[in-house]
Amino acid sequence: MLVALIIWLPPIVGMFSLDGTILGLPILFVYFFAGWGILIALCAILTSALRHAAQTERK
Amino acid sequence: MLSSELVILVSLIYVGLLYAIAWWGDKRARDGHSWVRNPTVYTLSIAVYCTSWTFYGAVGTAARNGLEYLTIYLGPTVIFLGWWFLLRKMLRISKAHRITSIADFISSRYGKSTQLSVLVTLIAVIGTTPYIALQLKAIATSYTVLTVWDHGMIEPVRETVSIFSDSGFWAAVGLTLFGILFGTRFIDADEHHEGMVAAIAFESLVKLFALLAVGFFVCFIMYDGLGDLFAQSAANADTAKLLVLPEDGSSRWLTLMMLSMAAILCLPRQFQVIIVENVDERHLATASWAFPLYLLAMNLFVLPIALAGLGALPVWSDPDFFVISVPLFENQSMLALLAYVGGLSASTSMVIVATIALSTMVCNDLIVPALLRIRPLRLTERDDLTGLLIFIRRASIVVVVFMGFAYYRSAGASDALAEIGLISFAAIAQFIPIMIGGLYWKGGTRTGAQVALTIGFAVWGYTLLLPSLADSGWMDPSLILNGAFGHPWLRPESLFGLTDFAPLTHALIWSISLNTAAYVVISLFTEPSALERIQATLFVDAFSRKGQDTVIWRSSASANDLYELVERFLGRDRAYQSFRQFDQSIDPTWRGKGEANADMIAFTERLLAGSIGAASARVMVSSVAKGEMVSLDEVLEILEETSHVIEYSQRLEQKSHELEQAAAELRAANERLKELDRLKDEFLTMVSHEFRTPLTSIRSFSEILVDSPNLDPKQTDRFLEIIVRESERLTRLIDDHLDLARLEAGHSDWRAVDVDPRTVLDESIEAVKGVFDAKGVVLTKEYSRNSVLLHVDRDRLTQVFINLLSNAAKFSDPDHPEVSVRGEAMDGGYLVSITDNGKGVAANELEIIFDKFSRGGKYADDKPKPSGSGLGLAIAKHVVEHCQGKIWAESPAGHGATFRVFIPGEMMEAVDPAKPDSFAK
Repeated sequence: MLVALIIWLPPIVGMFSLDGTILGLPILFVYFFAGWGILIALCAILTSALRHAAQTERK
Repeated sequence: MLSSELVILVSLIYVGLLYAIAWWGDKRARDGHSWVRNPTVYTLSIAVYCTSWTFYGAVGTAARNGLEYLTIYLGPTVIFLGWWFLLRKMLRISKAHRITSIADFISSRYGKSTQLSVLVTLIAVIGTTPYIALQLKAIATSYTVLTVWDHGMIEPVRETVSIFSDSGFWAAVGLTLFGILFGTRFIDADEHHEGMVAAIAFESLVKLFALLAVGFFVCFIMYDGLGDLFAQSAANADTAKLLVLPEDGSSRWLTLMMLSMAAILCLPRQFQVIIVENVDERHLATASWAFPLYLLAMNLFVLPIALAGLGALPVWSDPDFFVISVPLFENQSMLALLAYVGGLSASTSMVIVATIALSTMVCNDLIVPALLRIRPLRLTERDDLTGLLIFIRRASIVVVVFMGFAYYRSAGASDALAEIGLISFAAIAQFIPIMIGGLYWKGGTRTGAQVALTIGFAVWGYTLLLPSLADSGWMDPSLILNGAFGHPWLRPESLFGLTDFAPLTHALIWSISLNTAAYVVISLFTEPSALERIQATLFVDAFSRKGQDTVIWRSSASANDLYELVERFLGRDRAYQSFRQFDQSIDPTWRGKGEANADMIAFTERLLAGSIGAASARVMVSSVAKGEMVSLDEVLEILEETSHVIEYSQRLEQKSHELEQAAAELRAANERLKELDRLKDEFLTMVSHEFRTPLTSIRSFSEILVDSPNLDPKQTDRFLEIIVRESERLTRLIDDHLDLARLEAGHSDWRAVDVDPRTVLDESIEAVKGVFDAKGVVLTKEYSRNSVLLHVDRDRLTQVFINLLSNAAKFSDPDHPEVSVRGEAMDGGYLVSITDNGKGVAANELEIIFDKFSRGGKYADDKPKPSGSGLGLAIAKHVVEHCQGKIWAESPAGHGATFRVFIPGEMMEAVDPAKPDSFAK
């Protein structure tokens, strides 16, 4: 999750302050929401894995 | 356009529905089967983050600044995706300490400081005021948009209506009522408001549904899908620029991102729903992805709605209310009404949670500590305080809502929704340095936190709030333009000459950096009190510490007193239940009478902390616990001492471990020395013995010769012969000794030459031929055809073979002595085996015989054979080993003994094919 956090923040700021004007209109919109969705999916998978690990540990 | 009666009716029905849900949620919770306590409801309640700022304001922001509106939701997403690091810790700590608000959290961390909690509460209340104003403005304006949809509505609302015909006023009244009814119905030890959570979760569903409905309408009915909408927008120069980022927007982008991250952690209402209303840590795990998902869904259609509004609506329409005006413009009044209800739910949920959270803070951290300090009130001696507490909370709800209303009526109405919200965020963000610092840095002190907060808040007020007030004409704008005292360096929007940034970024740069700097520097230079140190450790090491209880009370209160104290604050039923629970779970010995133990006092303090805050609880408990508290310094000293002792004992253990190891080594060395000593003694004994035997015979025969001059010459000759032989033996013995000593010391000369082992063997056999013949030994020898070239000292090898051969002759069967010699060239060396047919060597002596003086023959009927020096095999072993070879003995029982010598060497061609393969002699 920390990795997701680190990847999430600087590239957005860096990329959009630098490349924002270069990117075409749908790309920017799609980039944001697709990236958002992917991160959410990753987090969901990770969380369930964590919970699974915690449960097996408890057993 | 809709009739105002219809809109009011719908609003009333909706609010009535909310009351019903909240009432039902409370009832279920009291009956013990709450459906509120599940991750979905928890996630939806966190969505109270999406207020009318999101519902209306995001569209407005998108219409003005494009994708910038996303920052406000990306920040919380980051925080939630990383819940494992920050939120989980906050949750764990809050559960352990029964934290009920952000003020409680911060003051607990810094030694349960009352001043700090007062400060945090004040900042939270002042900071939230514009935010509540924003909601009221949203309700009022959306109502106006829905009912008075025409050109005239761009005029600020407050100038056209009196207070009582302002829909914002009635909204404020309704929200106050709701907050009072469901936020403060009773004082609960753990501050869970099930009914409120249920209502909030429902509202989150409504606003999401409404926004999605409008979004679908815009994208798929007004336009031909998203692609069509974007294509049309890109064609228009005004809207096309919204689809890319502004060129110099990165600092603002970063600022907004940081602000929203701070907001989700520090906003009192977010703290309330995320931390205080949480009942299970696993719910947070679910919310970690579900809440970002909600935000994603909420934001998906914001930009399309904004673009559609810009494209279709007249220029005078306020982009903040596109969500309503777009459907209205398209004559979809029912959709507009749905959007209005969505906006209403967004606003009401925020106001309700915020006021409840703030009223808890105002009551616990502002009013109660103040009342406790006013001695004439004799508050600590009153019987039932629950009524008073509830009254304080209700009053504070009224005050908070109407402060927001006042701001809305006076200043806030002129700004865009998002800008008002950001002023709030910036105030709340002042908590971040001392909060994060408090969670991860033990060095942060109360003084540091207080000064940091004060400075940060002051800078915020000067650089953000003041200009906002000045904008609305409440004060002289010359202060903003020229700076305080006319000094340009003190201009609120470009403090100390920093002019390159937008007001918001500028304010944050100064407030947060000064705040952080003050916190760090002052913390480094101030000494924390004992309680601060304890709390700092408990907070920072929340995960590594098992027992959360800090027992710092000396038992001196009666259980009855404590019970009464709790009863006064929590009410009879709750006190009874809590104590019964404690009775059963923690301390089965307690029966409600007698002296309370330290656990019990600590429990009482935590229980009270739940309803009146940590700082006040401390004061109350100390008023009942008659004797003094164990001084905190004392406790700390004990703690430190313990840790020192532990450290010391660890070091000691390590030392003793080392010592043990050294002792073991010493013991081993000693054993070896003893063994050597024994060997030396044995050796000396043996040497003396060996020397003594020939010397004795020499001496006795010499004496006979001296004493008897008239001895028979024959006899004399025989005696002299013995003397000579024994002398020779003695000499040989000494020679062997010297030889061995040289070998052992490595001083002997080695003249290594290339030899064929067969030659050496033949020579050796030749040398012992006399002895063999004398004893009548039958010798068999057998060489392999091939041979090996050895690089050894020829004389030494001969010595070895002679020794082995003479041994074999000596120990072979006395009646039919037979000795066989075998030489085999092997891969990598040459193996010589010399076998006799004697009794052999006992299995346990196969090794020992190569030691000094250990002649073979431990068999019972063996007689000592004094003719050898007992050093022959020892010397042989040395020699062979010097040649990197190996010597060993084999003795199958009853088949004589075989001594084998293996010496490594190079294989060579069969040099003499004419020579017979083997021959007997």
